[in-house]
Amino acid sequence: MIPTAHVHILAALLFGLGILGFLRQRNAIMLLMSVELMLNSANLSFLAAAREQGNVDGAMMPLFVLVVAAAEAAVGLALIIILFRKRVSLDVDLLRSLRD
Amino acid sequence: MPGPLTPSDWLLAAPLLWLAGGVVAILVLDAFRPAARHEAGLAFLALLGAAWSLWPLAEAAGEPLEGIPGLPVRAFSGMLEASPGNAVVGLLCLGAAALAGILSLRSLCRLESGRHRTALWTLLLVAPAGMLVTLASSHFATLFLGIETLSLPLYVLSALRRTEEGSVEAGLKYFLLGAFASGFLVFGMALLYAGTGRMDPGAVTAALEGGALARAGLGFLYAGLLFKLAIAPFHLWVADVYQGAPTPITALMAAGTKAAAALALLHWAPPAGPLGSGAWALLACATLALANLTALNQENLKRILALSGVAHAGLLLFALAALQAAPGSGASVEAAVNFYLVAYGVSALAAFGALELLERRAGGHAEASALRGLGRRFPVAGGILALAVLSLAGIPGTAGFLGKYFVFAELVRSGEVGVALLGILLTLWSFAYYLRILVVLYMKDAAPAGGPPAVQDTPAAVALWVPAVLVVLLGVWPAPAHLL
Amino acid sequence: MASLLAFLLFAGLAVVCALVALFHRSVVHSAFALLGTLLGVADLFLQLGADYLAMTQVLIYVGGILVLILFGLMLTPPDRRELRPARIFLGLAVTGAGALLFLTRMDSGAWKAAPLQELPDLANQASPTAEPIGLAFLERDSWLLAFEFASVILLAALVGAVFIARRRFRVDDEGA
Repeated sequence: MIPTAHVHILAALLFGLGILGFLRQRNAIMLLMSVELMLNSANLSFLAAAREQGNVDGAMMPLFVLVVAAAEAAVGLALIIILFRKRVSLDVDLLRSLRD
Repeated sequence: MPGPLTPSDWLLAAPLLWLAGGVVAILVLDAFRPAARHEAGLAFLALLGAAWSLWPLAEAAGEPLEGIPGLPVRAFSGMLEASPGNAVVGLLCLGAAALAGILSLRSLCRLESGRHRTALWTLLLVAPAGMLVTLASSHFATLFLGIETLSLPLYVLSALRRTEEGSVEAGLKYFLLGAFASGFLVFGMALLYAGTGRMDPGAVTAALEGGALARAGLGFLYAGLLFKLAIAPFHLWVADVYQGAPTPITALMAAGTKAAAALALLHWAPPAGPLGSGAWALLACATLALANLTALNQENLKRILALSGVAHAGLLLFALAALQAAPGSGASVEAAVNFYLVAYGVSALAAFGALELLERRAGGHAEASALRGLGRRFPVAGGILALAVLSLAGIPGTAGFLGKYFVFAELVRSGEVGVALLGILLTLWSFAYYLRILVVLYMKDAAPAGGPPAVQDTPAAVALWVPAVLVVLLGVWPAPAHLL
Repeated sequence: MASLLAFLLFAGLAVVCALVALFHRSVVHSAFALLGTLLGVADLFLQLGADYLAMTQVLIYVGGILVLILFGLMLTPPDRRELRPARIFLGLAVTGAGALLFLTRMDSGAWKAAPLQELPDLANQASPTAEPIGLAFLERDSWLLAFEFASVILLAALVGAVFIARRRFRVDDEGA
């Protein structure tokens, strides 16, 4: 049986990579992928904890995270596509028309 | 124990059922009769129904409801929990959605084809449903789903003017940062659950006594929540998003999202004790100072009002500090927060609503230079904006003043007099930029009329009186609302 | 021991793929590397005894979200580097070889020996599988409200995404 701590460490590692990716990347789709990575790591943590505590709650939550991730991806990609139609670039550093 | 729904379940589920029913009705009718203009009517029916089903709870401040064991009402074995005061804030969220809809009738609704209207009204019903769930959430699942359900429609609604670069940019920015923040929120929940084995607000208490894992989770959870509330380190998106989004949607975000996120934070606030009130007070002061500093050199009125919203959210943290400093003050702090949220909400609705009408006269611009002197030419809209700004500043006689007064009174009662004085000073500092809006509105040299003449918008002009009257009414006669 | 090795193997896969996804210059490569991470995580779910969630992960993340991201990539930047003929031929060759292998061995019986029963610990763990999850979804004092409310968020996402990404920009003047 895998020690729970190992899973938490892996989850933290993936979460950190997600943050790093989000802060480092400039392509909007890459930012979305980084967020997906963060959500995945949270799911791992939930599941490891659920197994340790032996109740079903921790195994339920990841399902809802999945649902929300799917909804976010759909809306996000729609926004990204419409931005691309206007701008022909996905570089988020160019998002600076809203300034004073 | 499995079984049928109890009266408490129905009481809290009914508003959601009304809203979801409205969404389904709009979509189904749209599929069969695409040419009919039924969306607005159905949406208002759903909002009214939701408000009607929420009313018994809002009214029951004093006595318990029939068939329901006690107040606050707990439903679905603790998934949702709402007090009468929460219900009043819920009514504010529904009202914000209705006002955003009325303001859109003559502008956003006419941008594109009928499908556009369908999307607008559907999302205007889903967003308040998310707000209601968020502000009554007492389980990780409802907190997370509620926040996502209020955010997703707002991402899309921000980008509703999809031919305009600013609008699309606002939507995408809001989306990317919002998704990032929900990553923090979920990871925080996972660690809290791992550390404490609980998914209700009790997890927060347990975490404070527990190990490093749970404490780290608490930090992530608050980071996610504070982002939604736009507190100091996480407030940078607000000005951009509020500026780029269509103004009726901005009004909904300012009044509704803020109220829902604030009540969620209050529900999930740590109990008095180990953490101390210093952290919250520090965050509050930093937020107020940063918002004031940034707002002083903004040209766009929407940006100024956005930063005013940040400052208001910051002031709310003083209430949390009071809660920390004085154990057992929960009920009165919650009443103060509820009143404060309603007061800020109606002021923000009046401000952004009036700004929308003025903006149309100025050819769609909200820069100070384009709005010069418009208060003289359009006395009603200008007057309502001026009144709302006075309320946001906290001039006695308006709702905003009493809201701030109650929060600071809680702070003083909890013994944090120094913090309260500092907060009052920071609030006085904000007068500078509120005054600037008034000066712009009533300046002598009026801006030349820009753009095509605006359409006469009777529904919006009439609807705008509701928040305006409430600003005055709550300011001079707070009794009904302070029972919250 | 074996289970720990399996864990390390798939954890390594997930982390390495995540690193590739985040640091590769080409977005398309990143998307495919993310596929590796998601599959690695799905396998870890399986090792943690969550068979239902693992399947959902594969179906929704790999089959849904990742495909959506790839569609998004195709609809957006014409990344010229991706179009070098050599790569196209390489891709075609790999896909063709895979398809050939699959077609020739389809009924040879090699596929029937799926190693499900050999997976570590799976059978004797008190694992949260489909049945308790299904019951928890539909019981009033469990997750019923969240389950129903999730449909609202999906509906909103559907409406919003369809509306935003629609191509036509037509001003409507019926009755205006």
